[in-house]
Amino acid sequence: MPEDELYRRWQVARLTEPIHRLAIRSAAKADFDHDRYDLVQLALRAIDYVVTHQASMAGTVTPDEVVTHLSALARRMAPDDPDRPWAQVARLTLANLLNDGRPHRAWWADLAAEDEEWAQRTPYQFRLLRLVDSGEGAQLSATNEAIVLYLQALDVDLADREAAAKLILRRQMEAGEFERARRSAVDARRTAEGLAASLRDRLDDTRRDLGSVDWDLDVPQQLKQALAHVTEQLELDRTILALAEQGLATGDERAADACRDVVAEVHRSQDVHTRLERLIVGAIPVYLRAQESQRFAPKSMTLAVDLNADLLRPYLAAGLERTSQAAVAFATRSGRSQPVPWTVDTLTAVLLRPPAAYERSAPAWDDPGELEDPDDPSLPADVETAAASVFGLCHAGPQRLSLLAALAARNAHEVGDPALLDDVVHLAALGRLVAGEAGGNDTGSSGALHTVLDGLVAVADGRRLQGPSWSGDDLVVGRAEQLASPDATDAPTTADAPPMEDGATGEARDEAGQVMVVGVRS
Amino acid sequence: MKTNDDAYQAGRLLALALDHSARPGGREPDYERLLDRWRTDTGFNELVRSVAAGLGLYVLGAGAQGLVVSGDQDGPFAVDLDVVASARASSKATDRLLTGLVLIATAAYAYPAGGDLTESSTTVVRPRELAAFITRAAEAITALQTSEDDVDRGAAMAAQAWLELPPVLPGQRGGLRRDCQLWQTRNLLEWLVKQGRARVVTAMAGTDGPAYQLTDRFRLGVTEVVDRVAFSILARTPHEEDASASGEAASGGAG
Repeated sequence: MPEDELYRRWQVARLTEPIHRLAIRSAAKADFDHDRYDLVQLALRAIDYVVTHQASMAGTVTPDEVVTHLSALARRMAPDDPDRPWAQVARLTLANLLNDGRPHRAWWADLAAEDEEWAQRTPYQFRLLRLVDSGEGAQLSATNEAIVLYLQALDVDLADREAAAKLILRRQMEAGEFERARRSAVDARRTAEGLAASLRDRLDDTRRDLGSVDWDLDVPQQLKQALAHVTEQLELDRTILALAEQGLATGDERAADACRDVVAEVHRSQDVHTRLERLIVGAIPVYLRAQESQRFAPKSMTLAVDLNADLLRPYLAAGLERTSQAAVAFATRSGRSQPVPWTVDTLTAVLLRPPAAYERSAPAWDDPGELEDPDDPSLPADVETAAASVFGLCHAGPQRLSLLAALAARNAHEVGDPALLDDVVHLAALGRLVAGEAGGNDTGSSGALHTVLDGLVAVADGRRLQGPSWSGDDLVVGRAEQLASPDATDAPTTADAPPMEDGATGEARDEAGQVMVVGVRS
Repeated sequence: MKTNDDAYQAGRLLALALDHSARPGGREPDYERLLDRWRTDTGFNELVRSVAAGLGLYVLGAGAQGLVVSGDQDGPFAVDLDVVASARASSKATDRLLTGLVLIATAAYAYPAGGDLTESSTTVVRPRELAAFITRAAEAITALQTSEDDVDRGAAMAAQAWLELPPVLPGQRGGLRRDCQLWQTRNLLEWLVKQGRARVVTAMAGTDGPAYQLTDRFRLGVTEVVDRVAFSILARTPHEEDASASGEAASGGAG
């Protein structure tokens, strides 16, 4: 379609923009005397240089090498430039071609129909050079677009073009126009280099991902054309060499020099074609291997790998030397001394985690006047009543704590928390011991128990406390004047108490030792 | 059933992947052979992935620098703040957030479109241009303060802090003080170099500082982060499109 052809030619025109931008805009802004340098030529030579390396066995070239190459050329363009900005000129040239690795962008304006109010614009992106990571360092390679540009941006079939160039060369040789013939030979060789570079890219893509390359139509067609071309060109090269040898034999020195140049060019061309032929021959095996590994290889049983049977047992069964070697190598490399294998995803999640918001409440300053235990100190009413009832006996006469505790235990069924009643009885008695005659009443009760305990004191007479839950010395609780009596320690023991529900009193009855201070709950 | 040799080879390949100094074709002669097998032998590929999963590792793919793995969130190789020493050493959460913002911005700057992540060609990153790029996007990112996504919310906080930084803050003895945007981008790119995720490209350097190339190891680690809104905002932010700008930077001109 004419429109397709127009679009193709538009693309070619756009492909030249980076070079024009270099010459017109970037150079004008650069701080060197740009008029002394042919930047367009440098750009074309840069692409030549990259494509030449790409077509070679090395495959790629580093940015440093390109800059060095272009610096040398820039120096030869203006060896008398006092500012010696040759490296700067080289870097400017490369930067414009590479565009910092980003694609160049252009917009194709579709024409609106008569009844349409707006026109669509279609983006077109291209790169002339690609900056790639080779593992060892940065490398440059030319894109297909650059290769087309390198071939003077003509939208023609590459193989046909080279064949035509060679035919022209033959005509020129026969007509004695050796210099033009030499230039044509150079052009033809560059075309072959472009073919090789293009095919190498296809094969690299095939190895990486078979699906990214059209092996149904495109590549077979390209291979077919390239093979026909190589066969034809190698034959043509031999013909040209024969013609050049005839030119050498004419005796004309000028013609002989020109023919020697032609011979040299043809030899270089033969090298390129030989490499291209090797690529073609190796293409099908590359395709088959890629197909085998990426398409036909059966899904492995490793999908159901049994780590025990398939991995660990064989590993342990391997020789000591082999397993040790692997273990040491793995431990050495997997230790934390190695950088953690982070990704942008995982590390971003860590770094951009919002800081924790510490919801600290304002500090609560202690009020010196309110340093009491904030817990409710009141006793349950049933416990307090039962304890008051027990200690009420002490006003009639001194009572042993063992007896009081036994009485409390007998009334335990009347309270909701018998253990609390037991504790209150023991602690209240202990409180009376500690407080002495002048002591206050800190039972936590302000009710009946507080009233009953008021005026009571406790003393120890060396006997053992009887009871299942507390141990230590027994106490005698009574009013101070009663305890002052010499027979105060003859207060009734648990033996005088009504029978207890358990056997705690039996042992107490036989025991009549020293009175000791109550202290520990068993 | 796999042989013990397969187990050894799988472990060996993972060990090499965890060794950031190992390169295919370098001082480890078997690395390239193991990588070739990993690429072409589906059974071996799955075995390596299984062993890796058992170790708490995830295999991201293979690049020119070798096999690229990452640590699972809960495994022994989990990524934590210790990875970035400067952020770890800083007492300010803001420093950590700023490092995260520059990291995600670097990814968006170099790989703004999904297709960029599948291409082996990379973009040159210059600290000054990266800082300007972040500044252009920062205002929009601050609008994510109420996002439910932690990373987006953190990015919003970081963007707010970024806008409060001066672009450049010269130190008394030359160089830069750390409380400026340019220091943040330079520092992160230098750190990426030490981590093997970037390298300095001398040929592309300008008079205003070095130029960096991100490696495949960096590229392969950019996957899920593209789903963050903050990344989308950054990815939509225009670069300095004028190629002459980069050319001038490289030539020491007005760039």
